[in-house]
Amino acid sequence: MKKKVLIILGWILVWQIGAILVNNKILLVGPLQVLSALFFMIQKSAFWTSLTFTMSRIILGTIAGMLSGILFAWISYQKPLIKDILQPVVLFLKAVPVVSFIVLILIAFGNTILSLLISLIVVFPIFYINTLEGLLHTDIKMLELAEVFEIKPLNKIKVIYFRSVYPYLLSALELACGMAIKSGIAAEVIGQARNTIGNNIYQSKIYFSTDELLAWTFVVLLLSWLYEKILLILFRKVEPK
Amino acid sequence: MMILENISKSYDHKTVLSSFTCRFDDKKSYLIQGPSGIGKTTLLRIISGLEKADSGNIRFDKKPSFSMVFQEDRLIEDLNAIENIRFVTPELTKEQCTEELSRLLDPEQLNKPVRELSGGMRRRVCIVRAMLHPSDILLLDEPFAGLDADNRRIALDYIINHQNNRILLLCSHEIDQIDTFEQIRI
Repeated sequence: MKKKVLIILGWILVWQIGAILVNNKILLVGPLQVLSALFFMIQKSAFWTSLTFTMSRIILGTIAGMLSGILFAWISYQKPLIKDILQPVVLFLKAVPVVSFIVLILIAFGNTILSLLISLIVVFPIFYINTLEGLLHTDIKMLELAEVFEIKPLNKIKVIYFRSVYPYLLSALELACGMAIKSGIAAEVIGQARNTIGNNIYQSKIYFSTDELLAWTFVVLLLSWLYEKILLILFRKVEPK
Repeated sequence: MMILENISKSYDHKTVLSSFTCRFDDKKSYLIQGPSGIGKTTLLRIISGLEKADSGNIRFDKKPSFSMVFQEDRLIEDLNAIENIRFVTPELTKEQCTEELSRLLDPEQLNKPVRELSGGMRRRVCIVRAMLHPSDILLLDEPFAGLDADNRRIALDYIINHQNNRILLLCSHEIDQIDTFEQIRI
């Protein structure tokens, strides 16, 4: 731990020296200037409005993506025909660049719920594929046991299926949180939705405010880390013992 | 009552059961005998509905419910013995499970996850799990595997005492009180 902190401090020092050497506020600003920009930003109510606007949509999008991914994986597991029908859709969602979806959604729905829909589109295939993989790896012998003893469906889901799917859901969650935030904010940058983190980043670019840009980047990193940690803590509470 | 008529089953052109016919009556105990690989497990799986026979019929006097000890333990490794039993029979209380399990196992072992139990202990959990489950037909496939002679005798007594009015079908190579059972050769 001590070693890690020292390494990070070392890099921050390299960054500060680099900023002094470059001596150009547009090309590279040092960590102290970023910190000062951040301190200035958090005192404004607009900062918290942007944070709330962006995060509420990304959280809703993530939850919708998770739930729909799990639901459709369950339907696909039960009905192989549905699995075959959904396969090209999932492959399409995985393969098409996020930016294409951003533009399409922008044209169709405008920018108000853009980050919500983009988070959903990014999270859905991750949860769909992982849940389905977990379901397909369910121990057939335990399913036979449930069949013979006529175990109630809810109990079967809770004890047999959830136990099998849980590690897959955990890795999906780790992957999806960061991606949802990054894609959601990228969508806001392109869509220029007002009162959003993405729009603030875009404004920093227009006014060459590199210190504000990096301060917002730091906020995004922090949010991404916090978001993942909170969801993982919540998810570990339901871990099958 | 259960009647099996001309049950046949083969895997990859290898016949496992050939026109097997037999009648099983309520309250009676049957010992299915035959060398390894002859189809005893397949027979139990067909009766329980886990596999379909290639041909033949099974007739019951009413839609039956089953309890089974499988060849493998099929326990949920992270749960303890009591939780494993309550998973298949949630109506049972912890106290009932503890009381019943204590007849075959050291009570100190009951709160440990079953993955920490020895093969013989796990087997006894499976026996109690099957016997406590309300059912019409008991299918026990090598329930004594891994048990020493003393524990085998105790487990068999437990099975006989808990059979009640059910049909009991037992496949075992390790049985001493053979007279208790009607013997069926495959």
